[in-house]
Amino acid sequence: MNDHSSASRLLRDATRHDDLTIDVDRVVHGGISRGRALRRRRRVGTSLAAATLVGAIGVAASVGPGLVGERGTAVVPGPGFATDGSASPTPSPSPTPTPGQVDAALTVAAADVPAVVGGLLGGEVGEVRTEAPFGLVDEPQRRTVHFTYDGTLTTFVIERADTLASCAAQVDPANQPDGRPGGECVVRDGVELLLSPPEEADGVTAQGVSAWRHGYVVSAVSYDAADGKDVAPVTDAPPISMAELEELVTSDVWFTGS
Amino acid sequence: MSTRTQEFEEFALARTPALLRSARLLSGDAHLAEDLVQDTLAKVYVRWHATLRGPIDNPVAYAHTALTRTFLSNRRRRSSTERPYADLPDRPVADATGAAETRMALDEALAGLAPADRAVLVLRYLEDLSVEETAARMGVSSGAVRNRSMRALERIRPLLDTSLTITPERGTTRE
Repeated sequence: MNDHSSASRLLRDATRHDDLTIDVDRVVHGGISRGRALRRRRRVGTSLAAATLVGAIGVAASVGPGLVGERGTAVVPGPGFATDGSASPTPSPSPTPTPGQVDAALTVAAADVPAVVGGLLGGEVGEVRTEAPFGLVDEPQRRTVHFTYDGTLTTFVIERADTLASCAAQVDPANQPDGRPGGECVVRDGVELLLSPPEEADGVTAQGVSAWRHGYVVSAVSYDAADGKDVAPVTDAPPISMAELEELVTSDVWFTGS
Repeated sequence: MSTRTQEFEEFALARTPALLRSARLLSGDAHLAEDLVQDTLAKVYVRWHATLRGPIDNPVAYAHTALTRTFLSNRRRRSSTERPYADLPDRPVADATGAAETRMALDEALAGLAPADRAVLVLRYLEDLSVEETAARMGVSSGAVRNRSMRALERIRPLLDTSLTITPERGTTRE
């Protein structure tokens, strides 16, 4: 018997009887309980490999309505926003609000986000993706929209910060499947940013930036393909650069009262 | 319970025994193994419920990869608490007096290995993965797997002639 066979036999024999004494139900339900807690903390329903990068996407899609903000909460409607991109994209510093403290209202309807992005960045904006599993969310304190930008998938999400893990928790290696940091948290001009550099998963490369502003987290993710997984890239890299994503998520156009 | 959660539970119930076997050898302790498997299941649970990502292509491989990487990640964080042995402790491991003693000797041998070496042993010889599959699961090169595999095999070589097989009629351990 060669070493490989001998070693295989030794290890299999050594673990064979573990099955007899294990309460599998208890282990599984403990795992599910931890999974629910982890999901609540991260508020993401996304790939373990790119959890932070696309975390904001999963939030809008996967979190129950009772978990995200206060559905139906009345907010003061802001002034109408011109979707030609004429509003200033220049970010203005906003003090870090007390967790849960929302100090501005959202101004741009989800369906209008692509036009605003096109106006801010100048690229070619295409169709809004509303089919499953994408969908459009347009609630008083939540926006989610997926659309094409220069022929590639782009995701834009705004959600209340108090429904999400902190930036530090989202990048914590302990919360990542591979034990590596899930991005980088930086503060620029008083705005906390989560930078998720390009990462490939399921054949598609994506990069994203989230900004904590006015009690919300504004996130944008750019992909190098027309879909989120298992499709051929159509560009060498996600067409919206990290700098442009940062400009996008820190723009004042999304808020009134800022 | 949602359909997706129900499907996850069915998957987890089916795969947990195999995950625990690997975790038991990786961690060297039954309680740590359960903790490791629960951490793994939690991560798979999150991915399983990823609305925008679609179903996991190969849930079994995904779960076992998550197990391996969670183990290695945890060990990196706890590296100050354990050290590989320079040599195996002297133990009468080959006297074939029973499974328990050999099992203890195996635990000691595995405990004396670096976590990555232990992972290679488990992936190559318990889960029967190829060198390339092992490398992919651990996120290292094939060459590194070969080197670690040779080193780890040398450490358990004194145990390779020992059988833990139970003879059902007698309830004892014999070749």
